[in-house]
Amino acid sequence: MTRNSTPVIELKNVTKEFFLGKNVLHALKNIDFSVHPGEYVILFGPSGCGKSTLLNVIAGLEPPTKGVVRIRGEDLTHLSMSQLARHRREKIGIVFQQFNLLKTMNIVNNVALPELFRGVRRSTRQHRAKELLREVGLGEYYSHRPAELSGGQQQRVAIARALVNNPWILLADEPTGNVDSATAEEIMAIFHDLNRKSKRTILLVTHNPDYLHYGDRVLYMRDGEIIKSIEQQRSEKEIQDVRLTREARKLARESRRSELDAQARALHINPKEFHQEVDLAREILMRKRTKK
Amino acid sequence: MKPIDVFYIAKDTFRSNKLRTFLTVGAVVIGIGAIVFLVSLGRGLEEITVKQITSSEALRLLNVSKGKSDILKLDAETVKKFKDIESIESVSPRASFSVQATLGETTTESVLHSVESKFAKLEVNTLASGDYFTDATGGVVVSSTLSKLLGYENTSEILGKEIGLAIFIPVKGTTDVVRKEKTYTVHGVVETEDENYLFAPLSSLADVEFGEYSSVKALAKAPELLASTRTTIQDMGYFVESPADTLTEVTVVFNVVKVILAIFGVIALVVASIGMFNTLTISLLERTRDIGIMKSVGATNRDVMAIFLSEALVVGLIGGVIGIGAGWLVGFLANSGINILAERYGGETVQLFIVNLDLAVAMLILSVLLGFITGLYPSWRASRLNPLWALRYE
Ligand SMILES: Nc1ncnc2c1ncn2[C@@H]1O[C@H](COP(=O)(O)OP(=O)(O)OP(=O)(O)O)[C@@H](O)[C@H]1O
Ligand SMILES: [Mg+2]
Repeated sequence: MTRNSTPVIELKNVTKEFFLGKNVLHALKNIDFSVHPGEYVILFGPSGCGKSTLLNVIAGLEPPTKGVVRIRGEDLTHLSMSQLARHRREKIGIVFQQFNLLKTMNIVNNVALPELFRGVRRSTRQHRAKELLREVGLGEYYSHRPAELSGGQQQRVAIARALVNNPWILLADEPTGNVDSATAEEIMAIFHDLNRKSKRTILLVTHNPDYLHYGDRVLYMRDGEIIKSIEQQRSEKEIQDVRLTREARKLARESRRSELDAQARALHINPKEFHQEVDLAREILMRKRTKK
Repeated sequence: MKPIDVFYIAKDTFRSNKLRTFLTVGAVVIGIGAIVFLVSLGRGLEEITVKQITSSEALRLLNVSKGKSDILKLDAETVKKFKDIESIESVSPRASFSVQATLGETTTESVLHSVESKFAKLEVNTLASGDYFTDATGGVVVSSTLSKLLGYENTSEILGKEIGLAIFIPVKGTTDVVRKEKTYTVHGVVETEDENYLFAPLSSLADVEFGEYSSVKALAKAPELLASTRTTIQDMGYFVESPADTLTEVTVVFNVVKVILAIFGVIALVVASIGMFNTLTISLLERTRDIGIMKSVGATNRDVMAIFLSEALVVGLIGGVIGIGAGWLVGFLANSGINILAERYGGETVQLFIVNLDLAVAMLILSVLLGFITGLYPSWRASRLNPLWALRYE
């Protein structure tokens, strides 16, 4: 990787505290890390450990209580509100779990929204938005409103929007959290291509261990701290392998299901209940094994 | 952000929430429409009254008399002096005499006013029937009271009848009176409550030697010159009255009426503004998430402020245009209705509601201003929202 280049994102001693009445909540504790150009970094950790807060600090949406946040050398903590707005519309692209599209606008205008705030001409920005929508496979849906699309399609609109101003950095906060697993796989493939083919720097938050193999580096977070940073070599083949293995496993699971169905029928039990019983039994067995 | 873009955003917003847009615009329409309706009613009432008490010439007219003075004279020479005043267009002297009027068997006392024919219209009020006299036709205009005294209840029947007049003319410089007899044809009748008089052209008394006129009417060249002309004549010692005096009083009364109507209008407007402010504030709440989205992709506070404020301005403008149209339409329909009735029952046609350009323009400015004022606070609030807080808002 491009280890020797200057980092695109650089955090030093970043602390974020929330004041809830008398209590202080330490959402981020002395976070130190950098991301280099072209790197794909995954933030992984349990719910409430501070992943979103960290991402929002980098997006310029949440001011840190202490510390330095440098994006390409510029310290965000010294920027005014309108400079932070410029940072968001020119240097980064954000994708959220909840898609966050404007219901009132069609998807072309949704994708073009950051360009609108940059003062780009309407025809120019719509042209670019349509181009990006074609790239994420939504070329036939230009005049649709978000509500008329599926979750996966909406998330692809959000990705197109994050790309519209050609940002240096893509930030994604659980982009697969609101879609089914098949769609999630598609979304992850898009991010993978954006990193591999378009050389975008990506910082992606997830709590699904299935996706960890996509990253060059995984930062494990717990209680506001990065407890572990693991670099991994990703070869295209490996990623394909993981994808295939998973698909194979899924197929196996499904075939086992049909087997169970047959058994249930033979035993004259409701197949659904039978599945649940078997799952429960399996879980208990697993737990016993991990305790040992 | 380009200024034009706020309108694209507004268009999408209006289209995607038609009910809310309808309610906000409706509030302005009602407020502005009510004011237009009420003010145009005030103007119409004023115009009608002014028209009734006066013609446009009345605004230039001065009534000159000697008042209580014994030294002053109001004779041919004085009339010539008045005529020489720069700002005076014409002077119409009036000579009045006691007369005995005889028609057929009936004789009664009356007063004869003789005026120059060309001022007949100015001197005599609107005729109930018949026509004014000219120097060519001669003849008299009698008051309806006199007509009745002479036995003609129906005023149109006295037209064309011959009236014999015994005129009592004071001799110049003495207290003596000379009696002179003349015959006139009745040309017109003027409607009066109980005033007994008749008008004849001065030219018909050319053979009569009389000392002084009873009063003189002077017509200023323009309404603006009325006051200065009045002062000039008053400085000569004469007593001056003007129909414009009553006019000013009437105008004052109608200004009061207009103010009262305007107060009702303003109440309507205040109610409308509260309604609009309310919908804008609710709209802000409903769109909290949208604000979060816009800010998260790079909208500045100013962008958000501009978006919300221009939406309020557009609402004000559209509401204003429709409101002016609605106020005008209601007035127009009312006018038409009144005039259809008036024509059917033979009354005069009137314009009870008058909307002119300055009212429309003022209302347009007011409606945009209304949008601005009611939109200012919600827009400011919207612009200050914390983007993350707004994104989490449900
Ligand atoms: N605005 C806020 N005010 C108070 N506490 C907050 C605020 N935002 C986040 N927190 C707290 O900070 C901690 C970290 O929150 P954060 O959203 O970053 O977690 P996360 O790792 O993204 O969790 P999840 O996987 O559930 O999204 C949590 O305990 C959360 O309750
Ligand atoms: Mg989160």
